[in-house]
Amino acid sequence: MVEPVVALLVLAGSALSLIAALGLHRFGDAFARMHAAGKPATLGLALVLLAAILRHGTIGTEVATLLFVLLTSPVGTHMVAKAMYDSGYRPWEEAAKPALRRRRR
Amino acid sequence: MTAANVALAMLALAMALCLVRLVRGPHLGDRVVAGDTIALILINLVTVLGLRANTQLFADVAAAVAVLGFIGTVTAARFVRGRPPFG
Repeated sequence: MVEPVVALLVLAGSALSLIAALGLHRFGDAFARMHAAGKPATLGLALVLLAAILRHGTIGTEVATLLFVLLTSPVGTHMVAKAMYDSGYRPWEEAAKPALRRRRR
Repeated sequence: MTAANVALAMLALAMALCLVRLVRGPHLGDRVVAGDTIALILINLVTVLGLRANTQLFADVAAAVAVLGFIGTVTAARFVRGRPPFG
């Protein structure tokens, strides 16, 4: 009975990881890429770990892993972004242009 | 288990995209972000492999990869600091 739910969770989690990698591949600069990569990968990992909990009936290590990733992934991304900004990286300027306003004229 | 095989294919494609970004750059920060995402996808991959082999042993491996990924990201962030983007 639990097996279709496990399959669905595994497929959804892996698809979210694939979406994160696609965003990492396609976005314009490093700040946009860390925005696109961090969140779907974390949610996908949560779904896959939930599938492992349902399948195996154990809960300790999976929940510890998930809590650790939920705590450390934003911290790591924030450290990288702050170090990049402090050493001279600036966000992609095309992203801040009001592209829709120009079209209305 | 067919779903696990499909999931493994998707994760392999995701990791290939991350490796492309890791090689192409163009800056140091892009490579660091790609490595961080590779660590997340690797945890995912190990968990799916454990589901496919129907064993609980891979959960410890996933926890170890999570810790190593965070340490690697923090070290790389400290490496980025003080290095200008072009040069």
